[in-house]
Amino acid sequence: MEPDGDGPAGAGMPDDVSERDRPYRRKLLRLLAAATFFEGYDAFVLALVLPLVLVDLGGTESQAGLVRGSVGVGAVVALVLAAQADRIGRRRLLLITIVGYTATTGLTALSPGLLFLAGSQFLAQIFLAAEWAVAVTIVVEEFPTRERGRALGIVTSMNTLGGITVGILGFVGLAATPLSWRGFYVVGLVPLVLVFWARRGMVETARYTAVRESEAGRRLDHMSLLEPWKDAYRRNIMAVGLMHFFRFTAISAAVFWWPYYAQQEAGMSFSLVSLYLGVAGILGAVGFVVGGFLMDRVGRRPTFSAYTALAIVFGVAVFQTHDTLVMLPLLCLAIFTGLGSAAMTSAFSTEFFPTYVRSRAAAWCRNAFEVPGGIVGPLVVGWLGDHRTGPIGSIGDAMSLTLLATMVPVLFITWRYIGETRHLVLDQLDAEVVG
Amino acid sequence: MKRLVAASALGVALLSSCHTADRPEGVVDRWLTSLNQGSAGEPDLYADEEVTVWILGPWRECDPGALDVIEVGGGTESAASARVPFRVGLARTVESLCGPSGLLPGAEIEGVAILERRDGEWRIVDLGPPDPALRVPSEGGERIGKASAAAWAGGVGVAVALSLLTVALMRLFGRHPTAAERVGADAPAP
Repeated sequence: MEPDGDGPAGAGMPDDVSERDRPYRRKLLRLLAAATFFEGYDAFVLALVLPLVLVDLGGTESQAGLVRGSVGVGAVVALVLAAQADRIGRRRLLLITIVGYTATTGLTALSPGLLFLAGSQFLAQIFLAAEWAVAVTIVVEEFPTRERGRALGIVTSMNTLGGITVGILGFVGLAATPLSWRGFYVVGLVPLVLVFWARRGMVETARYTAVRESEAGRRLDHMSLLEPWKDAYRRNIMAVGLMHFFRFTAISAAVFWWPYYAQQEAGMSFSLVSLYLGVAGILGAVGFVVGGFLMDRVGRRPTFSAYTALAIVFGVAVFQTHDTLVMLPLLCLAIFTGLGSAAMTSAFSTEFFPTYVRSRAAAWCRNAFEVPGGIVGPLVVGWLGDHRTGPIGSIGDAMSLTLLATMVPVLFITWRYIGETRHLVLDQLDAEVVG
Repeated sequence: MKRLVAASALGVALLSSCHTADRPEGVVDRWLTSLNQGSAGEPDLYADEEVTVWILGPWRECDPGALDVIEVGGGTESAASARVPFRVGLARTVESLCGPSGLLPGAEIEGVAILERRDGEWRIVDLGPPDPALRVPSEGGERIGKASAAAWAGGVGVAVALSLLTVALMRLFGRHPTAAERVGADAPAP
């Protein structure tokens, strides 16, 4: 697939990256933002529509676990697909993931039974999770050093806005239309239009092209899934991976259990919980953008450390309060700092690694560390806080303890093992490896 | 090595303190949550049909979400029976969700679930009127469960253990200087 259309013709050397025209980067940012938007959208759709799916397709609450499990496994398996961006190119893989996600979402909308739905959601997750890794890689490679943080902040914030959109569509009654739950997956077909622009207007990243075309670059291993574990990267991949795992163990559990806590331990109604989630989600999404700005101004490490420390404070406070008035500002601040730090973790998972291995490193951090954390966290909190059999018997307290137990190690890892990449020139990193 | 042994000992101590329970409040909670799933729900696992119909009438006809509020409080328990306060609020759209069943949109139902232990399992056998001595948490009543001081100390202990585990893994896997450090990524703490 050759680049064509209105992209920056002739771009090819890494040094050109900062010179790429702004209009192109703005269009690219919109495309990547739309792609990550649907990653967040899809993650929340299933949670919202699963009860309706069970009624429509037939199934019990216990069988719902099968569907949820298949989604989690799909996101881990996505590691293999996401890693292909170092072999076939970022642009081509992005197109494949968008088309793949749209096709499998269409299949989900047409599901005749629960098993079919579980299978199509498993496949959809493979494409979605790979799309995230390649989108973040493209941002890091296409934006100049001084703008990388802001661009990452914008792209990662779309994930949260995608989730909020699900709530808004539910609030305006999409589920009450004749399409019922299938309507949510029909909306998921929208990304297909992105393919048309991406095919014509998007070009391969200049850094990737340069590395692939250079004689020395061709000698590097663009295939092996284990390349990010080589001596030159192992320390980074281990530290950033563990940090991703611990952070997302707490964050995913908090996102999963807050609606339950608010309704069944704080006595809030479902409609109030939905309203709070919408408001806090929109205000909280600003956290990504502010985080991205601070990353460029004061650095990744100090911004991430501050966000993480505040996320512990506000996260514990959210799960300890029973006052519905206090809950909203605390929830806004918890989302602002807790979810907003994704802008920084996406920088850590890409900027430490040279271009030829960057997408595989991002995939390891995201799919092999973060996603399993996202599976473990809700399970641990559910087990500890189960009202019937849990050792603690309170989701609020179980969640607070989990935040404490896993986010303090995140702070420790950041202080002890994560370097600062604000001023890191990626060209030098590539030259170091190629040389 | 000493750190690893200490971390392992802490882990074993924490796991041994994690005993499971069988709270009647949890049974009431699962019953109401399951009832709110419409025909996909399985409230009959926790209560007899004649008890369940007191809340939502012909619940199998309802779409999910007919209950807008579900709240369960800490109850009282003896060897063979238990009393658990609960509060549910019907959704404002309950008529469209359940059809013409006489359910009042937005209405609240408060009461006490009466449970008996049968074959070692708690089961809801009846519903009683609200009891001023048994209230749900939003009305000042007891919560179902809460973490003890030892559990909070355990949380801090797990944080320390996980940090030590990280140190061990980094020593095992991360001895070599990285490419990023060689080209000027600021080093972390010495």
